[in-house]
Amino acid sequence: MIPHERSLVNRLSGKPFVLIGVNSDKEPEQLKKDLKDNQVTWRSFQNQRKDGTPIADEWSVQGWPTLYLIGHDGKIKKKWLGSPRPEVLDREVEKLVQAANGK
Amino acid sequence: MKRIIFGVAAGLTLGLVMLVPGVRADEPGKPAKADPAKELVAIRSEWLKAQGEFSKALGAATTNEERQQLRREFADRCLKLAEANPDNPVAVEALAWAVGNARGTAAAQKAQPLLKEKIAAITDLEQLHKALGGLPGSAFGDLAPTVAAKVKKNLEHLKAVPLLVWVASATLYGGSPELARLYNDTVDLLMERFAERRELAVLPNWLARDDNPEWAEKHLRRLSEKNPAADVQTMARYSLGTLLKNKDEASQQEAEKLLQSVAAEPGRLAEQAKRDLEDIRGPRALGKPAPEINGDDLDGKAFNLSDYKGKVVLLDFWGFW
Repeated sequence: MIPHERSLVNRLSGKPFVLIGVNSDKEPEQLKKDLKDNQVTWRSFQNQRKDGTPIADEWSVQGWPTLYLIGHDGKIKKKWLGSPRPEVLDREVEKLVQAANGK
Repeated sequence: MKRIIFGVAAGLTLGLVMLVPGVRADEPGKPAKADPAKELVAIRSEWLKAQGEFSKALGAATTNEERQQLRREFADRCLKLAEANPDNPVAVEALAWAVGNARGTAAAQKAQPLLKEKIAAITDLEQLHKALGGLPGSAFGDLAPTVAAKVKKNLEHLKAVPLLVWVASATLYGGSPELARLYNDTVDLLMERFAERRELAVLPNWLARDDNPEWAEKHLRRLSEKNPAADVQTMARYSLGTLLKNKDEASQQEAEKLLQSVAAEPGRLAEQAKRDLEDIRGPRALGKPAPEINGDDLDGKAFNLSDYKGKVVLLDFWGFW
């Protein structure tokens, strides 16, 4: 999934699109290394907030990964349990990016 | 598709020793050569007996270590049995037992390639079904194309459907583009020819998580219409409901209707459907404005979802794990 996300982020750079992660890894040192090795350039929230509440609980994440797609109007457009196949993801993201450009 | 066998002990050692030609504990004086047909029956009945005794012993074991040890021992014996009787159908079953129930043991690792070889050579679907029944499909994906080819030549066979379901289970997680395609083709075939069959009860759960939701939706609709079994229909309606809930704003109404119907029925899915209905009515349903997220990034710097207002946002709950 990460290689595809990387190419999606690169392809849509300069367009009104952003990929934001909510990451649930627990070992900060290992995570730092994994991020570098996998060239993860996009920003992620730490799932566990400082006050102890996990973001994923609020967003009723029943399994990982879960993806939400939010339109430029701020409305939630789609949700996937598990990663959708790359062509499905591309199609849905591009549809919304086009809508954002045509606003 | 099930395999019962769990369970050994006292009688087991004796039982299996008798299976090895030449070490017949019961008739020490008799030469090992016997009537092949009788030999076959004798070996089978000993195998069944050994399984029964193993089950009993496993049931009596009190700790996980004990159970693990019993499985390890029984797997070793399965392997010996198969090696001693390579041409007996029991060999396939014994190898399958070791692979399916004693994963990670040395015997299971040795049994796996032997078993694959044997399964590839089986042409009779009845026997094939027996051999594959207890095997974790996921560990046998590379057998799936062979099995699928054999079944497709004989789709009228009684075991064709359960075998196709096995092929689907073995290719569910892909592993290669070929296996992913085989999964899709197999489900297409099952849905086209056998949508009314009871064995398709496993499909709704798989389809609900498919990486191509439109394809899954098509099949779930068909299954909920064509399958006469009430519980299969309920499962199909539940999965279809969850799929539509995540599809788009326009599908929310239909999703709600489907999930309400499931929530009103007895059964374990009702509780799940109620939770899904809460989602549909909650603040993060499709079509609702995304609620703010305040948190820290991985460097500990504070940031907010609303920092990216006006952009399309893919919010990805992920991890390396």
